[in-house]
Amino acid sequence: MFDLTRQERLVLIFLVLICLFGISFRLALKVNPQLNRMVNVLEDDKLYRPIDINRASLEDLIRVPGIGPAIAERIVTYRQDHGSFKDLEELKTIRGVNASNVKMISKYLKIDSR
Amino acid sequence: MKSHRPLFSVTLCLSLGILLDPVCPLSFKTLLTLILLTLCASLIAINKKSVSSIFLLTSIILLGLAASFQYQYLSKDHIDHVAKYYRSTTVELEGVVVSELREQNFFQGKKTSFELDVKRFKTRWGWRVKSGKILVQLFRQDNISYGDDLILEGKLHRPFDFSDDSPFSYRDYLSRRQIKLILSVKKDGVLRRVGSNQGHMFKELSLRVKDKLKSILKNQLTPHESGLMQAILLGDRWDIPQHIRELFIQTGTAHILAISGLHIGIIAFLIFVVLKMMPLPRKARYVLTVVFLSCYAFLTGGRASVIRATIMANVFLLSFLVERETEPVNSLSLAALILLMFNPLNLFDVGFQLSFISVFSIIFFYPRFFRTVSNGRLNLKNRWILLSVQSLIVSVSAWLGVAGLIAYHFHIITPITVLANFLIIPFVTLIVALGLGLLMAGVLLPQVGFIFAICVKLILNLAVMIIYLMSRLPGAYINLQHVSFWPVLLYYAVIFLLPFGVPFLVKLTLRRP
Repeated sequence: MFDLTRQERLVLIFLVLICLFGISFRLALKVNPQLNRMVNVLEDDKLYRPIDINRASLEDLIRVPGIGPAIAERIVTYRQDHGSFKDLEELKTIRGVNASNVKMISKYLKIDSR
Repeated sequence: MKSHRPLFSVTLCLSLGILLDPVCPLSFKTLLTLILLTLCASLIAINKKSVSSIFLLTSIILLGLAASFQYQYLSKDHIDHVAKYYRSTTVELEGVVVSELREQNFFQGKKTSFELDVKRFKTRWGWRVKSGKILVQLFRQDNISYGDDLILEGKLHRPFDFSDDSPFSYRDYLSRRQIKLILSVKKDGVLRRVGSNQGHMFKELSLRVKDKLKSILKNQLTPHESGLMQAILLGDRWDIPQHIRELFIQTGTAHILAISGLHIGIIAFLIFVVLKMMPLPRKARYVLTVVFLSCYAFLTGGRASVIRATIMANVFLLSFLVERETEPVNSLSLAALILLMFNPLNLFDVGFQLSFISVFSIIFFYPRFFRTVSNGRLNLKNRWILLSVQSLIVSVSAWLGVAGLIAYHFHIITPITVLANFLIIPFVTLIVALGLGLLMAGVLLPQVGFIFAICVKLILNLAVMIIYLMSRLPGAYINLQHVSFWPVLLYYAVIFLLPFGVPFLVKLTLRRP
């Protein structure tokens, strides 16, 4: 019953280490929920690297997901006509941008108060 | 050839670790250190079999302790930490429905129960992000489904234990499923849906399929018949009337009401027979049977007995693909390991214990009893006699294994079990086969469903009649006052060690002058 071959012992040692890592990590997440944010880099807002909508060039704006060439041009035109954006909600006044677009693209945009 | 069962020792050691958790004073960091040390020692001594094995198995015992500790540890933002400050007040919280809904009659109204994964809790200082699962009891019917994001208002309390005399602890049962609290929402309590489809896609699909299958049974059968068939085919025992459930308990045939090896075996056989009629290569048939069985296990909610039976069946089927022999104890151990790593507290679940001990005792006793019988004067060349003898031996073997646990948990002994099972099992085989036919017909050809429904009605009612008559026989069952742990342990020590002890004693007796 307790007769384990060398190969079985090696495999079991490896499996126990994997299990131990999994259990320890899970417990660590419970003890410190902040760890979740540190580990989930892909979900981190920092990855979005927002650009300043008032200073971004046309090329920069085109590269923002959800903003194509047409909307980028309209944003630049809006800036020329009305001055700087005070709030990202003003984007809704631009043709082709609605509430759900604003929610999506505002992750990639910011208004730098300086 | 001597059987090699490495997984058996691993499972025993892991189980021992889990059992020791309530009495273990070690911190997690100490456990972690000890596990790493023992693993290193095992690796260093890898060429010395005994020493390496001892260290490795010790590390597995400690792993069991660590797994149990981790499973029961409540995270910092768990709702249980704040609930005690809101005991006598109405609370508001938000969460996602993560189980199917269970509706039952409650006095003059309805009660809906479901599990909720908490997202936020309204404290005196505003909404706070919280976590943890709770059981919601809503004292009305409502249009809620799995995956709905709800805001609810009600009173939080700990689960009640039914009575001190009852061996069953509802609080422990829920605790094993990581549910520490119940939220009771009154008939006119607040319930707002703020989102939907936030559950798992596959679970949602399986619940929809299950609802469809349940409706087929409810349309074709009476409520009690449908309740029984839902238990036998879909694993839902909520709609079985208590008096009928008692009949099955009194005759030791309650296992029929849980999907287990018998059901999985019949279903696997039927799937395989259907696939055999199609122009598919042999290996594809095995793979598809494994896939369908796994889907069926998922559909029926993944209880311990279902998972255990499905894993063993899948290992058996896959062995044909890899052309290797299976070792039943190894397969059983693998199933136990998977269930215990998923939830270490499964070890204390009655269903888990009964499921595994019954199969283990069949594996243990069947060859021994069969050898004894075949060495006797019985003519086993006759097919029907052989089948009957095998069926009886399986029943006796299983009964020996579960008798102790049933006495301990349910305070009942059922001497009628062997006879009742011997008579009922053929009916169950037919009921499962016809029931599956009814479900398939209900989905594909509803017009012919009634044919299967009539057959199911006849056989099911006949089976219940037989069970009823069995329960009325004198001495069919004996209710016990109280059974403590040590006599049960002694019972198992005797029955499992006796087959080794008897030959030893015989040899000892023969050696004496």
